[in-house]
Amino acid sequence: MAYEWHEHTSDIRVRISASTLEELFSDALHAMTELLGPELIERCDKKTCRMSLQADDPTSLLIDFLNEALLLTLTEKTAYLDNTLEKLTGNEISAVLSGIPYYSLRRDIKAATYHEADVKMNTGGKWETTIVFDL
Amino acid sequence: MIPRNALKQLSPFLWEIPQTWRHDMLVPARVYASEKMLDQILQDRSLEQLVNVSTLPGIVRYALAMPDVHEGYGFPVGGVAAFDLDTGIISPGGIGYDINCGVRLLRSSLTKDDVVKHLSAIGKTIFSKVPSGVGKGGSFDMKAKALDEVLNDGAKRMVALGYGEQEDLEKTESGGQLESADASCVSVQAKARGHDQLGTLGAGNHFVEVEYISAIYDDREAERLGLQKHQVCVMVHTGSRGLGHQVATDAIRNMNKAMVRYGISLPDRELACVPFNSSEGREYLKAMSAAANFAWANRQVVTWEIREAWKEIFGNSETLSLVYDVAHNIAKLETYEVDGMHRKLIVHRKGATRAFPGQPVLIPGSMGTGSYLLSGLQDAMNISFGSSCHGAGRTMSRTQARKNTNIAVLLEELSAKGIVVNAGSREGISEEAPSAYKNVDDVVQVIGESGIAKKIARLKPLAVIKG
Repeated sequence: MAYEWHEHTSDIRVRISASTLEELFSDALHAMTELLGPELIERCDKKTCRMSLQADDPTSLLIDFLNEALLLTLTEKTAYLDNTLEKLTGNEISAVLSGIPYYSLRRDIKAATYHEADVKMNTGGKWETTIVFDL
Repeated sequence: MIPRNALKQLSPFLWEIPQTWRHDMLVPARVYASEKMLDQILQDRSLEQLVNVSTLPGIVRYALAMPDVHEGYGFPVGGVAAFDLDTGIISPGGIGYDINCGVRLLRSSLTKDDVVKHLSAIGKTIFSKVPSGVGKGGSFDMKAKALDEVLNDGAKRMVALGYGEQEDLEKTESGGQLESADASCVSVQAKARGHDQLGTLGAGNHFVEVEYISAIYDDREAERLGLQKHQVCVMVHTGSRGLGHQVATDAIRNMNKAMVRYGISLPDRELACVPFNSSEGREYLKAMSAAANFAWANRQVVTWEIREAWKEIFGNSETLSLVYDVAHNIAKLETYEVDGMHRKLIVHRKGATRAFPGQPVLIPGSMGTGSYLLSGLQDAMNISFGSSCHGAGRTMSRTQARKNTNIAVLLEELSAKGIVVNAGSREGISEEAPSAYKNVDDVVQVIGESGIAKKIARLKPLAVIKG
């Protein structure tokens, strides 16, 4: 996982850098779940759910993906640590999220924000973005 | 970052970034602060975010920052902006994700001496009656129709169901109900996220605090509100929970798509907005109002839970009466005199409290440091769109606060002051350490000296209950 946490006066930022767009989405999901800090239910079967989204650009797609995953995490009481991407383009994603039910979360996340998000490939050929989570 | 020399001092506690500072500013940006506080404010991006607000279409007079301002996303936290209804916008980023996060103050008939020996029981009983913690559900698990009634009628619905008294509504901003609400504009997802969260505190900086009045600054006003020195009060800070968060998430996503159609281009996508008079704008106003109603209903049920705890400890004859309830993340239609004309505007408050003349203004400080009760002044209508600060305001990130705080030492310090703490998470305590916030005395002084609101009473904590 290639992400780093950075400070923000009221919230928290994460900086993600990945070799592929697929990896960037997976790492972002992992970072969000790590931040939520689920106390997983042991010896519990994995739960899966399918998600399909469209957006105008990769940045919107990533933020919408995270917010959809957050909604599922909170309503299904399941921490999604893995995903299988069936399709990922600059403006469309189809994925199957896979997770484990939890007892509780260590931290509340209100939303993933668009604030400093900007998904782009840097000069070194890595995909990167910053994400600010509203806590 | 905005450099210090970009700011012009207009009065001892008011500073302005002129409209000429950046080519896209439509009005100046103003910040209420002391010189010392300004140095601290300039260390994060809050004023840069305020300048971004000044570029939004239809903004009237100026973008404002209160003395507790700090960096948020889109609007800074502690930001106020008013927009023309015909040419202006409505922005969920100008309200925040926790729609109608707010504060209410209850007064008891007991004094500090009466309750001191019961503090441990008070902390434990309230902690057990008010569900708190991340994503925590309560005893209400509402079906669709019942939830829609709460979304449309707010605290009024909960009083009708027996969770309060008519007098509670009279002491709540907007009577605890925005009539612009329409439950059908709230998504299924938002309802799924909040259906079991009525009567819950949540986590983060939300709290219940048992306090006593340590000082009275205005005897007449205090008497009018039924308050006297040493009297014990209870403060509640919570909002619209997951339901409100999802309403904001839905709206920001939709508006980011819709903005292109309206030719709106922004320096920060979290400022996402649409014309107030557009279909998306009207729909968001209805959904936001419904989430605000949910928050008022939530604080009403939390009040009921606290009253039950109070009765359990002190008997049925001991009551808790509502002093006032204020929203601090909301947009409301209000009328102001602008250029000699009375104009209805949509006033956005993100981390700011309404401060109408004679209205109680509740300003909680950081955990363990106490709070203020103020009363709005006439001048607030002319200089701050009837708005005040909403708290002390963070100065330190949560990560830094955790690093800098030794929880055992902090708890010992609070205990030495006679403060009992009941919290679901040790992490929550360290992140909310007093050192992570500005000094609330300094913040309130700026509000008083600026003529926005006057001090009525100071409250000091006795018991803190957190998620």
